[in-house]
Amino acid sequence: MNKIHIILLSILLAAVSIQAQVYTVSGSINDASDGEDLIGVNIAIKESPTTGISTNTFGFYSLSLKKGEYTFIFSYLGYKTITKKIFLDRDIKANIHLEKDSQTLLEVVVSAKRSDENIVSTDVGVSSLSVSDVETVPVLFGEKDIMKTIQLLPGVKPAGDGNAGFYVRGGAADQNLIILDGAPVYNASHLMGFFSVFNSSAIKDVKLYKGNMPAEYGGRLASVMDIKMKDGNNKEFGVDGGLGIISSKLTLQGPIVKDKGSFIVSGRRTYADLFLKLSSNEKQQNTKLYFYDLNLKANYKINENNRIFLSGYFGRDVLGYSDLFGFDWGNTTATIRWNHLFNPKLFSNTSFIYSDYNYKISVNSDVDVDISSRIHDWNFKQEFDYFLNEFNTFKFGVNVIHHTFMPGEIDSSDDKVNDFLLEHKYSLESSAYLSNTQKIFNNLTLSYGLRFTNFTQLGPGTITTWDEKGNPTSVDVYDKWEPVVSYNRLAPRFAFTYIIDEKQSVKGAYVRSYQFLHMISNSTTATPTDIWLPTSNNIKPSESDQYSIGYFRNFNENKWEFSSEVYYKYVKNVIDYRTGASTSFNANIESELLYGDARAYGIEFLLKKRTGKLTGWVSYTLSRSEKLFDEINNNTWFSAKQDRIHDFSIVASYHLSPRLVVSGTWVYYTGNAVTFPSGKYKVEGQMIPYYTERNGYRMPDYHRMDIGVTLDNKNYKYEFNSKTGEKEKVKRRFKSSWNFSLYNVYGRENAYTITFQESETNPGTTEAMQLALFKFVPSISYNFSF
Amino acid sequence: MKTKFYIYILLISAFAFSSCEKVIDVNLNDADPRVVIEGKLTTEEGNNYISISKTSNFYSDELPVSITGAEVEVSDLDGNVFIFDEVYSGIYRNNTFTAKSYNKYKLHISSDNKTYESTSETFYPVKIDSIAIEENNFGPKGGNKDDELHYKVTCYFTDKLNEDNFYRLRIFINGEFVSGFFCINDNFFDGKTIPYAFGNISLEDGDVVMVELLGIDEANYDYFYMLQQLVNDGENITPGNPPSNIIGDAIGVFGASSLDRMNKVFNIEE
Repeated sequence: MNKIHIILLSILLAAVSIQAQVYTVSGSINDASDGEDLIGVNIAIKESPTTGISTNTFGFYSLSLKKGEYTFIFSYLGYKTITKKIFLDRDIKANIHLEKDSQTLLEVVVSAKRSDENIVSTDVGVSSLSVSDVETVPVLFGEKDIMKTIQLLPGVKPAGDGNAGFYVRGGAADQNLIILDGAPVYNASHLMGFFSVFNSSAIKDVKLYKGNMPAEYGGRLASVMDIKMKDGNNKEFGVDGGLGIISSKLTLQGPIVKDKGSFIVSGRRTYADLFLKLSSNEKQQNTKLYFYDLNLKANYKINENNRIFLSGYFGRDVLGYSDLFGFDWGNTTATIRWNHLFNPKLFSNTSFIYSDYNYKISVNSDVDVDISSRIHDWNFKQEFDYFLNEFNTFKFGVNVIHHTFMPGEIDSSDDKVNDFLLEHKYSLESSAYLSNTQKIFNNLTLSYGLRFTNFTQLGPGTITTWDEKGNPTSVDVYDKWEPVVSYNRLAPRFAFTYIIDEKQSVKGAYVRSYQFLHMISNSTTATPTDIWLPTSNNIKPSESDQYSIGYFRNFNENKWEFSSEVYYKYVKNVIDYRTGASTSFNANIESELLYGDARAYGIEFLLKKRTGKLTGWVSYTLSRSEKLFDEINNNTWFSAKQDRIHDFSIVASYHLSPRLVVSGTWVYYTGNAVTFPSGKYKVEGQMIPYYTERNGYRMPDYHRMDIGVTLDNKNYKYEFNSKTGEKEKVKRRFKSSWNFSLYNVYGRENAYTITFQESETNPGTTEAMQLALFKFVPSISYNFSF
Repeated sequence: MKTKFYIYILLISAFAFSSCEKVIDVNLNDADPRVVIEGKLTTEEGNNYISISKTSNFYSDELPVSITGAEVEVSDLDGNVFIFDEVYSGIYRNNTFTAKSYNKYKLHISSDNKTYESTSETFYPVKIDSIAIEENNFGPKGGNKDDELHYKVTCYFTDKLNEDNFYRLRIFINGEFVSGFFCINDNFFDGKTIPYAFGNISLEDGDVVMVELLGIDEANYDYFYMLQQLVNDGENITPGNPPSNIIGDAIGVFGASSLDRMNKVFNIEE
């Protein structure tokens, strides 16, 4: 491993030493209509066809070239290309405003990226989606959800029927880092996972790194899902909203100071509980069952070199049954960010971030108790992008996160129950990283970097050490801020892109990553009461090595994209539970855990059509995901729950007319690995299932088809023009559309759970009972903007 | 439990129109039969049994295979040895045996040249304070389900302070055992009155409700708590066989416990 570090270091030094008399063109690129920064805009130079870069996540670009005259081409799919002649005899600032191309918009673009992005991008194992991808894809209850659409891409699988949770390349659900404007979101789902917390009205861009995280990301093994909120329209005030069967939403955006600052406020609330008010039962009338999301963001450009952003997310689920029972949970995130340009080559991004997830249960029955749990983070991030020259782009920075875990607390107001407090846990996760994307030859680009992390468990606390069998070996008391245990980890990252010709390329990557937080679930399904546990004296950081290589090819003038990637991943120190583990309110939770290895490997295929009347994609993944534990299944490899061997999806949208789109999806995957009984016995005359192995069986295969129709109302009207005396076509400011969808068209009863029980109809015999949740779910929604 | 309630309320209120439940065919392997020992000793004279049987195929309609002709004996801390005789196929009893509080019992079984052993401890003899019957708070109300009336039966008993206590409860209606496993520990109730509620009990005027309260040891609690999750709740993060306290090639549990019971006649007017 040390050898690799030395090689990386020497490449890095070589890159820095390349110096010449050059000038820099830099600036930001945004949408001419609403001022939104455009991420990933391609900048090419006519005189030097092999030079090319794209804008960073803040729409900023910087390119250094030798003195001379150049023709710059700024292109972005779905926008009109701008060509600009620039004579470089000094550093030049060029801010570009791209106009939407109405011609391509009619055809609906499946990804607003450059047309040969698939081939030339240096990203390996990355799926990106823009909100337009999500708009026509039919989903459960018609609730557009970026996290559900991303599950239709290869290597990404839903955690369950209608579920917004996902598995990436055989990793567990807690191995995904989900960040919203830089802030980690610890529980990204509403209502048992059927909805994600991301209101698509407020989202600009989503990027999912399938294990091949660049060095600026860390802390999770399987993936990073980086979600950027819209900045808001800085040209004019706008309103858009939607009414659906489950929820309604409304977004307001507009300039604070025209062209300098803008804001966006977006809210969503479900109203299933409003129907319960119609019930004749008084207690049902008082039943609460809803969730809401509120996204807020504002930004202000102080001057050319300084811009500040403020963004926040507040969401909560609220459940209540009369005054007897209340249960609510939710996330809060807040980000303050400062973009600063030190010089045309050095871009800086400084953020202070707060993340919080908590739940609270109130019971007012035989006893009056409040049960609560919380995790919250204070997070400082300093990132630099250094555009050294046309061959090298460096990224470096630091990130310090202070985590506080409050695993559980019980407060009794009437003294009938003892107050109970699980000790709080504290830790500090500090990282520094450095990476470079370097163009070695015209057709070979390397990305390499290192990420160093120190994770320290801090006092105060009474810390117990457990042996392999779950028995305590020592108990020590620590003071406030006193380090209990500290882990130093160095994660190398490496990726290459080799462009064979303008139609095909080969890309590969090796990524090491570490995970310091683990989710402990008290149920087989995702629930609000899942808690996070930090690495500690007992729990070691999980470590993953992923190797991947892919072939990318475009056909028919970039209208068709094809890609295939192969990956192999080996993970050490993954967590599983002892058989029959009790995870709720267990002060000795760490004694219930087992540590082992995991491996995952597979091949992914994606064929995508991006333009034309028919757009969409077909994806197929063949993969395995297995685990190895001394204590489980006699130390042999067994299937992880998410070991789905085949995973197939088709997504298609067809434009019948400029106003009418018909779309459909079909998914098929192998059932999850599960533990079923292989016999039975009786205790007190009651049937008890007898188990012989963990995850030795399969749920039935899952398949489902959904269809949807989107109808745009006429966006023009005829008006009498008094000057000409004729009727004229005039654009309406008010735009609206209807969306109809049917989830599970052919009524497949997909198993949500299978339970084994004594037959009620035929006592003395045993049977398997399947629960299927969603059989034909129609929905309708109305969306508008003005 | 909370999760179950949560799923329940969610399903009835939002998704009931599209969910469906049915019996399906699932092919299950036939595991090699395994010896199952279930032993229960109580502080009530003659209320004890040791049952020895084998696991059967999951879909089998036949009665479990009993293990007959075993030698079963129980000894205590004072060196007394009690022989348990086979009263019928696979069931071993001692009509005069009575467990004592704060004692430790050792089980020894010999059968087919194999031996099985286990131990279990008794603690203070917990008593039931009272039983209350009221309208169901959650779930179906009186009259809602199958035209039967459903009630909540709460059993109150007082925990001993500064001792780790574990309890198991059983409920009978007119002498008929209500299936399910019900356990609680004193984690949140040390030294306090514990209200243990059986929700959703179907009752008619004049029914006799009997609650049995057993004071059990930690190993028995772990065992029955897992059964509670498997049988009542129908889910567990890691389904598996409950942790057995039997030493030898067998699964199951052996427990000595205190026992108290109380009757209450349900009067619908109250």
